[in-house]
Amino acid sequence: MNVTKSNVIAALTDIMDQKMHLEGISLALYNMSCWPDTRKQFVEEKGGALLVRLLADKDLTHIQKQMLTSISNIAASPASHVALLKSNFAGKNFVQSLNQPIQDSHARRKEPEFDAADFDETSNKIAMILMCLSTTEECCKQVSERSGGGG
Amino acid sequence: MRDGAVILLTELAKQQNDDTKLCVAASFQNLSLKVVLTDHGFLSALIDISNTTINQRVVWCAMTFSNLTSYNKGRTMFGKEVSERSERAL
Repeated sequence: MNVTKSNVIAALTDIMDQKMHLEGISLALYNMSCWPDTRKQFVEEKGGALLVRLLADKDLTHIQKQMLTSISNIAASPASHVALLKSNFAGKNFVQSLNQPIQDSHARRKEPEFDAADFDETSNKIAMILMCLSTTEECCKQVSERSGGGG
Repeated sequence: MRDGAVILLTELAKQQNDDTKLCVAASFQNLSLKVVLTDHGFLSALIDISNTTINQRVVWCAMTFSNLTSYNKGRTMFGKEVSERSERAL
């Protein structure tokens, strides 16, 4: 079944306000991100924005790795890069959302249950996502817009 | 990639994990192909991650240095950073 054509993402967006469903939504998005053929359509239907929104949720830090894996899966398809970069939520752009897990980990660093290996894995996933995105010329152009070009 | 990509990569370059640093080096190389990167902390992070025996990382860092120094702004920034480091080392 082509899940992206059956309005699953729109249905998931509709139930995003119900906290009890958020973990299930994240798992559904992860499953969808595993299909290479539908990744472009996934982000065009705002699947990336849903992931960014979940990543920003302070109550879902325990499944941040799952969300980052979903984003990493999506970023593995260059066709989805431009739409993925346009995913934003609550004034935070895509890159700023990727910074959220790092900031959360820094805040928890002094807590006894802080897991350094877990943090390493999270950092690695974020670096991998940025590396994948940096391979697309369109994404690099956005950096040149910001930095003002060469000198 | 605007609004913080290079700053986030600079932050990730501080991690101990070699795989993370390898991805950061590759990202720096890709991004520096089209534009001179002038974000705060970028050059310092690049010099730090280039200090390794991992061949692939050294190559990507060297290519980034090459891309960076092909611009006037990059050469100036590079010169400043190197002289600051020399002063600190003395």
